[in-house]
Amino acid sequence: MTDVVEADDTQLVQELQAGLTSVLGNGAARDRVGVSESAARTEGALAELGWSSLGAPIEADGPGIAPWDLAPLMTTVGKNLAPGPLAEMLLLPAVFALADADGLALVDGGATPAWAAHVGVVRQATDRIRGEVALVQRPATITGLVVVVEGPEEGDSPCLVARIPYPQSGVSVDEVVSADPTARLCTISIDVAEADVEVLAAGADAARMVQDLRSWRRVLAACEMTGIAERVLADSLDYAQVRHQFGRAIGSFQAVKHILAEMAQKSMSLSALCQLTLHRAPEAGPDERELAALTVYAHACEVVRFVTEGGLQVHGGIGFTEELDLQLFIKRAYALSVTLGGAAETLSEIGSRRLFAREAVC
Amino acid sequence: MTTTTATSTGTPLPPKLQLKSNSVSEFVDLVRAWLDSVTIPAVAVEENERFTVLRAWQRTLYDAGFMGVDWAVESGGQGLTPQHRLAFMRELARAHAPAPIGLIGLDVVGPSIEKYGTPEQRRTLLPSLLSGEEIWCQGFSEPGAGSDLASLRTRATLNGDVFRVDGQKVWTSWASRASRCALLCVTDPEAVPHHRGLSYLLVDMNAPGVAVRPIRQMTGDAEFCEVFFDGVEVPRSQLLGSLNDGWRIALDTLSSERGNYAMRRLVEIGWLLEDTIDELTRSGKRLDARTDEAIGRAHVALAVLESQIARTTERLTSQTGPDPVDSIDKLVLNEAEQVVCESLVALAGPFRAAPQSRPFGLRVDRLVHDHVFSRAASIYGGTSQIQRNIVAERLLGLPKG
Repeated sequence: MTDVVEADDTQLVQELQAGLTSVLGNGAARDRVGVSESAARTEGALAELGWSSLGAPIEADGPGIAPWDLAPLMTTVGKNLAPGPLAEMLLLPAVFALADADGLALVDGGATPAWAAHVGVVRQATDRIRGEVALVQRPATITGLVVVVEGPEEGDSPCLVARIPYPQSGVSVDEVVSADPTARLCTISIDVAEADVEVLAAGADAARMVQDLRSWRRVLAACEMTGIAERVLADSLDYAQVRHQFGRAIGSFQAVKHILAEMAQKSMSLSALCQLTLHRAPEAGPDERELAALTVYAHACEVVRFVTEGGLQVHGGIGFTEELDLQLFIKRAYALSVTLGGAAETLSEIGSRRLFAREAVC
Repeated sequence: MTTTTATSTGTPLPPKLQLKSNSVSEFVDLVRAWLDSVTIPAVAVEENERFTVLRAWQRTLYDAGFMGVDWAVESGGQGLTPQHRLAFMRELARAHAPAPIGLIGLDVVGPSIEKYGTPEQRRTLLPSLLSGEEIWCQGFSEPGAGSDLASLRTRATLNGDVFRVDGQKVWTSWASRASRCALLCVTDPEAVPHHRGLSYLLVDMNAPGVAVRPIRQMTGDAEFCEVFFDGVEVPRSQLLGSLNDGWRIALDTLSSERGNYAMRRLVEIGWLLEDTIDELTRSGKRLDARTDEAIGRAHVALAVLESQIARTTERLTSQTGPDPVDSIDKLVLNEAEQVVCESLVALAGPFRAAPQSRPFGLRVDRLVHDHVFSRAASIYGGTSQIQRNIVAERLLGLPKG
């Protein structure tokens, strides 16, 4: 395969990956998540790596690393787990040419089209911006919101991307309990005058950027799920060789071997699809990239559940406890595999695009 | 530049176009231009008709220089890389063109002769194999040797310069149409372990003592056969590689079978999806969310297969030989094939019970045929269970049980 990454970016990303591994590779993931001192330390270490400005383009005084080069960092995150929202911090600067995404929460209820009516969207209403969006990933300290604003009517495409500082009157943030300890969630209500927000993009530009943002969120989620699958497979393989029952390692039983072999098959197939998706991304147009992003995300959702649930089965009872990190990987997998629409809805999106594209040609 | 080659029967083949060695992207342009200029054949579901059409198509591809893209020029190929071949297969799919027919020869036996054959064997056997003039079959499995292939019993006794072959093979695809057979047989019955006494012979199916009985399968096709060898004489010059070295060649063959066969199936099931999308859109009837989901599922399965093949191609290019990752390829292929076919036949709902019906414009007969065939994917070429054993022990390093 031709290497699409420029030499200096490859090296930079490799150094970042090494740095990230040394930040996250120490100690158990269960110490790094939730509201804890260790979580705060991890956050500080990520800040030292410059995480929230890695995606910033050169015109915003950033390193100008393209999303397809940043994406493998999320695989490293998946292998180790850390409090988020990490993918959003990489993408917001890259897509909207921001210098830094520290403390920004992304409010985009339309990212999961099949659920938008229930999750909620923010809309333009004469001279105001209004709406309530649930399930927003909350940074530990919120300093602002990046809000995707849809047109006044249902079904309108995004017409505005606004940046709103926080705290501000007319904006409320209500934290809700999250099933995934690596992600804090909140419901955000907005009712502010359009004149009071900073417009990051408007009109066709906004629609294009939001399409790109949603595509990259899916690709980065798929990369993170790849990391989770690889880690759970590795841990399960180790466990199957040290855990003995009936006088021998459980990994010598064919029933257990076949679970692990299938986990390996799925995990490797996901890594191959991520690699090909990233390889093709620079040359792909926005619609092509969107279809590829939906595709890799749909596969990742199915693979990560299969692999983490298989890993739990291999670990048996101990895997079900909070004594091991496995449960965190499983909870993260469950969250990631629904957060951008889930497998079934995504497959429908893909199918309708394939059918619609052909209808348009006919 | 053109070359003229001779077949084993001595009949000269007409000139085959020799392509210039060029970059993959230049090659793709060339393939596209050529595909635009020819009539792509329509392929029937009925077996005989399908065979005839695809064999003629293989000849057309051969004459244009697109068979054996990554084989040596002396073997009738173009001397290009596996990436070129992958690109060619992708362009075939894009153009809605079928893959050629000589599957066993092209994907399994040919690469082995190309790698282990004498210059004479390569020169005499390979061009006619590429052109489709000669169809090959693979005599590996036996009634008592399926997943446990090494336990096969067909005997070849060397007497002077002639082997005398006795035994029975089964599940021999296309044997009834084949003029040659790649035969795995016992040449040293005392060898321990047994597989060190196996040899790989290239047998003329028209030789006295060869009898073929087609077996009709649940698809309605009869591509599988039983083949009986009763005192069949095979000249020693038709031994591939060294005496008693057949197992190694067979394993290598099976390994390349997986990579090549996966590329071919990517084209064929890709085509099934595209045709189904065409049929649905042409009928103008949108079903419901289930349709979208089924098409989406098939699309994702094909993308997964394509990305796996891209990795395989990198590995084949580095020519590391058989690798337990081949078994991952086989498992990914099985799953892709079964997911695509199952998703698509489900679009017909209850009408799959009546294959001549055309709900929503769908060719139900073809969907049913291909779906049933896909169920064999996890059996032939080593069952999924055998592949998982290989993955677990040789790739993941789990202890033997």
